[in-house]
Amino acid sequence: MLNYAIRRLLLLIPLLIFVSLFVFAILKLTPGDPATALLGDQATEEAIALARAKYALDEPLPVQYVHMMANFFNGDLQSIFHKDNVLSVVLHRLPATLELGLLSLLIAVIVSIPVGIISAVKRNSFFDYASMSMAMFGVSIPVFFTGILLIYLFAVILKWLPASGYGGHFWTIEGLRHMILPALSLSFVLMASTTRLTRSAMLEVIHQDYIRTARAKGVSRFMVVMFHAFKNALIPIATNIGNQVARMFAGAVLTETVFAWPGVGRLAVNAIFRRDEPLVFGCVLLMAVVYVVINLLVDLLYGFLNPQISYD
Amino acid sequence: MKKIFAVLATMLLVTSLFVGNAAAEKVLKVGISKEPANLNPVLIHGVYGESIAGNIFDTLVSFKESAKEAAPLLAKSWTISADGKVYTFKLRNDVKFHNGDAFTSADVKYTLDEIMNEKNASPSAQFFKPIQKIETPDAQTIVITLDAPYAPFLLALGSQTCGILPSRAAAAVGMEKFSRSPIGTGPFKFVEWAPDDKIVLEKNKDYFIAEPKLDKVVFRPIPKPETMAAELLSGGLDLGGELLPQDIDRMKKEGLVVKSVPGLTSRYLGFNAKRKPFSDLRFRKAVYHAVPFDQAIPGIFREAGDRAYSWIPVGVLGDDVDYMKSRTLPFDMAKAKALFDELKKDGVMPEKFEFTIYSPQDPQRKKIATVVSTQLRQFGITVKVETPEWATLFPMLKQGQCDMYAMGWGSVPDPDRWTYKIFIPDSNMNFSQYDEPIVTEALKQGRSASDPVKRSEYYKTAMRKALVEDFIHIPVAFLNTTNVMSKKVVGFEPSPEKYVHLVTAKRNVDLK
Repeated sequence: MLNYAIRRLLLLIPLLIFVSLFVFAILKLTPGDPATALLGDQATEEAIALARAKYALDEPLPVQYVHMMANFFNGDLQSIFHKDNVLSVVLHRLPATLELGLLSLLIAVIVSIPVGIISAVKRNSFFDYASMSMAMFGVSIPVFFTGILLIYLFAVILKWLPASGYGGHFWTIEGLRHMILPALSLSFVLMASTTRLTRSAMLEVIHQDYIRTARAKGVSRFMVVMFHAFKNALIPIATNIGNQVARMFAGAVLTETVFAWPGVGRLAVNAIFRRDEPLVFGCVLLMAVVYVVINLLVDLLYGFLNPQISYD
Repeated sequence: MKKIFAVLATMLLVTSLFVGNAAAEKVLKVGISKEPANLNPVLIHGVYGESIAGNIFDTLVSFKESAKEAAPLLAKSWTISADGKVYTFKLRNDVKFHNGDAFTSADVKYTLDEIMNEKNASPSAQFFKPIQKIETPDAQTIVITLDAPYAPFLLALGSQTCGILPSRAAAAVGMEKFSRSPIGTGPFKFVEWAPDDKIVLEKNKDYFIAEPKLDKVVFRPIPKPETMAAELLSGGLDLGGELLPQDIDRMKKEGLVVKSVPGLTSRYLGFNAKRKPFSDLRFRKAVYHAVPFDQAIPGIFREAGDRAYSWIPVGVLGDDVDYMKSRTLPFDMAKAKALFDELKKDGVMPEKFEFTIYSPQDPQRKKIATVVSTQLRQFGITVKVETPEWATLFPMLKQGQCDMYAMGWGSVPDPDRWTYKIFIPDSNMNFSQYDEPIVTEALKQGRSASDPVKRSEYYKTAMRKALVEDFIHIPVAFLNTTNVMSKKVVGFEPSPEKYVHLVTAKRNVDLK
């Protein structure tokens, strides 16, 4: 298993080179340049030329790429907008995004797995139809829209929770108050797909012979559902949750903008609009690393869920 | 019993989750739609940085109360030589920076030198180009000599991009680091900058004008106007702006205070003077006739803006409103058709003509472009509307690649700043590539003339030629600056430049 993990992590190297080349090419193919975005619409040609020289934007492209990669791995890559080290800028924001992601994941799992199980067990019941309709709703409505609806309901009409902003870590009261709405809004996407997947995975297992045998032996219905059926349905559910974490990063871009949340998603979007090339580069590369590591963790989790799976 | 305690404790916890803490301090929470890139006046571009820096730094002279007349601030008094070239300022001797350093003429010289230092690529360096030398005969006197008279010089010194830096402290850390922990002489001291989250200032008790009534100010960047509106309605913000026009109506109904002033931001349509058929006066007139601007503009801007007739905002020297208004072209489909037919007949415009109007991504400019597109379709002209983001659009505009565009401008209340860079042939802001010697000459004269009456005439000449003879642009609207605030906010007035001035000679904003 250790070998497997090391092999997977080594694969990161070619992956990062590919991602970095791809991002660099896109950055350079996009019209416009960072100096213009930095100095604004009233800047003179001289000022723009000086800024280009200052940030080495007038070097040949291969030289710029090599510099960017070397600086990234040395930890010297500087954000043009933040005038600070890219790594420290991103790491500074990462907790806000991870906490938001974790809380929304928690909400999604707590709600969607039980709902999915009950829907499967009580197939074609009113509960099943209602929860599947809600799930359909959740998949189809864009994150920013649910975000705005939640803000209007809980902040403007009921005045229970703050409308936007970061209040600190989620284990503080202010932090949690600020995090509930964005986490709820972000969790809808994951909740919807996990509910649907849990239901179908459970339905597949629930009609198999060993389940009927277990019931025939007199095991209670609850025990059968939870320990015989659900445990075997967990693999596709875990895979889905792993994949969804990546979607949550994408969702965080919108959620963080709507809720004025100082996380990595908003950082990346702002960096793109500000043409902060080193920061976009750094953000994408770091997100790629996080994505690979999360997927590795999910893959390793399979071994625990199903001991038959081997990593050699 | 234990159960009851447990229930009570849970209820308390839940209640405390949903109820905010009452603050003893007076903290003003201000929403801004974009985060500034810099807080160091030397590096600042854009209104958001200027607005916050205006509360941390002071300038030699002030335009905070009246945009038309310079008032003393760090300079007690000043004289301008008869030839308009030598400015002598007497400085206050009772001012200290937030770090305790005394403010002297060396700080003023240092600040101007840094603005003009090429290495800093300061966006405002262009306004200080006429400076020939700066002398500091003593700690409270500064003498600035210009190459040639430059009428908007006091305005440049009073702009927020010329806030005076503490020479010792700024030199010790360098311009970029100073931008992240700025020190000024202003009413508020910088405390914290959490990027994309908040910028916190606290009061400078020793401020030389008056002790600020607010203890703290928190500026929060909130990119979505819908979220800004929700924050204002829910009490999360005390003061905000740049909301959607439809939200402003709701704010009024909900009992929030809405204040508006005519602003210093414009919207206009421009034509390319070098490419056919846009270079043909008949085409430009035909477009003008084809669009019902008088109906469209109130529909697009509602209370957020009023129709513009010239480049120079109403109330600024040389605005010439009555004349310009009398010469606008009326909505007249028949005239438009006749002109388009003539262009087709002369081979200037093809039978099936297609082109693109470019605009930035803001909804109002997009709508202006869309109205033109819809109207021209009736004449068989297909007009696409494209809205690339700024870093893409700007180079295209500068290189004269846009046939027609919906753009805007914002500046200080001096006619030079509203015209020179737009109409001078070698300027990178002359997106139309317009080159008209009468206009160029008048604008150059206006820059150096010191007599306001003469200056006004130069600007009238330039605008009459460019806008109601050549119709190279169609002025669309001047935007109002609208701020929405809770009833607790006392003494705040919106500024035409969209600044948030909290303590000035005449006001000291407070929270009830």
